[in-house]
Amino acid sequence: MGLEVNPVDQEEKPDRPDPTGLDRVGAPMGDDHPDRDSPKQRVSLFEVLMERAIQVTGISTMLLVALIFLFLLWEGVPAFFEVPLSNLAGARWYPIEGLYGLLPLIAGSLLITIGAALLALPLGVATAIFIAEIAPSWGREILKPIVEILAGIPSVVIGFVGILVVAPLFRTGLNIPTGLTAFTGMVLLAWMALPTVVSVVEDVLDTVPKTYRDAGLALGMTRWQTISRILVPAGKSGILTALMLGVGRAIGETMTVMMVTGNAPSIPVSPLDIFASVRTMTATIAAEMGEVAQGSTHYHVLFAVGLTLFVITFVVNLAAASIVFRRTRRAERMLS
Amino acid sequence: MSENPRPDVKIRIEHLNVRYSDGTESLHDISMDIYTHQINVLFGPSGGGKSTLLRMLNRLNDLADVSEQEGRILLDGENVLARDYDVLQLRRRLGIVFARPVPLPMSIYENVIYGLRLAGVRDKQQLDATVERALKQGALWDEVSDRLSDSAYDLSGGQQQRLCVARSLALQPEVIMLDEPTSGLDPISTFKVEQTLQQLKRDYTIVIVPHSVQQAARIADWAAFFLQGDLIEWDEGRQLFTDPQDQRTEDYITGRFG
Repeated sequence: MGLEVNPVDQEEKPDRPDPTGLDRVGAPMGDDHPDRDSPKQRVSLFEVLMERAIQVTGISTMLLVALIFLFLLWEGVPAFFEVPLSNLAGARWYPIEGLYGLLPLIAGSLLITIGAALLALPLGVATAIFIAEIAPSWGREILKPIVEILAGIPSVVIGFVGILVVAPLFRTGLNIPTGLTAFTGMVLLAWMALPTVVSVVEDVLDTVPKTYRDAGLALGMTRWQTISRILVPAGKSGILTALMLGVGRAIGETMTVMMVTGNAPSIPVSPLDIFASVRTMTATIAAEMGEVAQGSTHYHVLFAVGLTLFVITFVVNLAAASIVFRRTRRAERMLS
Repeated sequence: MSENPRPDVKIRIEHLNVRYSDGTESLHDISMDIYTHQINVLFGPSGGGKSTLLRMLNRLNDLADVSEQEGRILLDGENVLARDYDVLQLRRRLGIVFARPVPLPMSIYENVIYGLRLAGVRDKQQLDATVERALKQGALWDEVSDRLSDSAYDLSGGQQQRLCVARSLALQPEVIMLDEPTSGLDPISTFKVEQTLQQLKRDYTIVIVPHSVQQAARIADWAAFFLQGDLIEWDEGRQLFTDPQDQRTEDYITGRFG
């Protein structure tokens, strides 16, 4: 009736007698008031404006993402025409000599990301189980905010700690020539991914129905059996999501890895190479973008590196999203 | 109280006081007996402490925020509230079935033997025999014997609840406690569960929180009426439901409040 969102209709309203009288039923208080429609009309106009504004913001976000992707394509794709594929797939990144092998960079990124995930997952899951199941309630009150603060530490600060504390520790402790290694990067990235893993897993454990626990306990389960046979299986998909989110955070991280991994573009071949320097895609872009001539081959290749990174992150996020989606669907099924 | 000779005492509760740490007193000075091979009914309006009492009996309340507890619960003369009492063993002796059936996400067969597996039983023959016995006692065998490997979620609500009963029975408990086991079930399923209880009491001691006064009156050998943490009246079921001694009991069972 009078609340229809149609400004034209609204403007005509005051001059027009209400043929149905329905409006009067809807607003008995203002029945004898001559311009009872005008405040209502202003509200409607406001509604329309707000709706449009929200629409514009939403669409512009999508547009922005699309534009960034287009920009990456625009600047990155020429690299594949300017540099032969055999060169790009090569093992040497040495731009000054025209060698643009992406392999060491991709290998460096993957090595550090996977290593960080492998370190962060057991630690994060254990921490979450401790917070959710074992710690007394006062311990929980202290631990949860601490974990959240950990998430807020800027990466440059973590990098700083890495250079000044962690790297020297590894250098002397492991007796290697430099502490700036892939392993250092893994440890620090794991540390950064930890809060994400902990809070996601803890949330999942929280949602495991209390009745499951009771059912287990009533059958004579010990605490460890409750954790290992009920909580962890029930929270499996959540733990996978946490892993994916942690990986997503780790692979895109730039500052810390640039500061602590030594930045030598070499391909790790033996397991011991995690104690050697590597260089990641992100660090390469950050370090070199400021010094290349715009429009040069090197410039385009750096964008191609960014494009590769974008694709990898996209795939990881997609995988994480599909796991989350599957979980909600299953949860819905269980509730119905 | 009735003059008939009393059955054997399985559990004796002596001056039990429980207070949750949020300040709500949940049971005060409860003294009563649970009799062997009887259906012992705990009933009353919600919030009366019936569930709390059940959960005290097998110490599921260990995990809740109980700040104070006094008194004793004697199972065959031994105080289960004692600090060094073997809780895991206790929970196998006192099986519990909850209001909402909690089938575990696995097959019917696996559900039934879950407790045995936890206890480390691996003998296939023994497990098979247990499944058959428990499901027969739970009055579910005829309906599921040809599809034991199906998921427990494929069963109807009433079947799931009887599966949970069977799961408790698999551990050969001495006491079976049921907390509103039929609250989510239709009348036919409810009838089946009640019928099952009548058979089970020959071999087991049964403690049940019924979901209605009618159910309490139907099945009670012995009944205890709880109101806001107090045990108002405790007597033989026949006596309590026909000639209650306390005005509050009478008001409740005649439907004047509740």
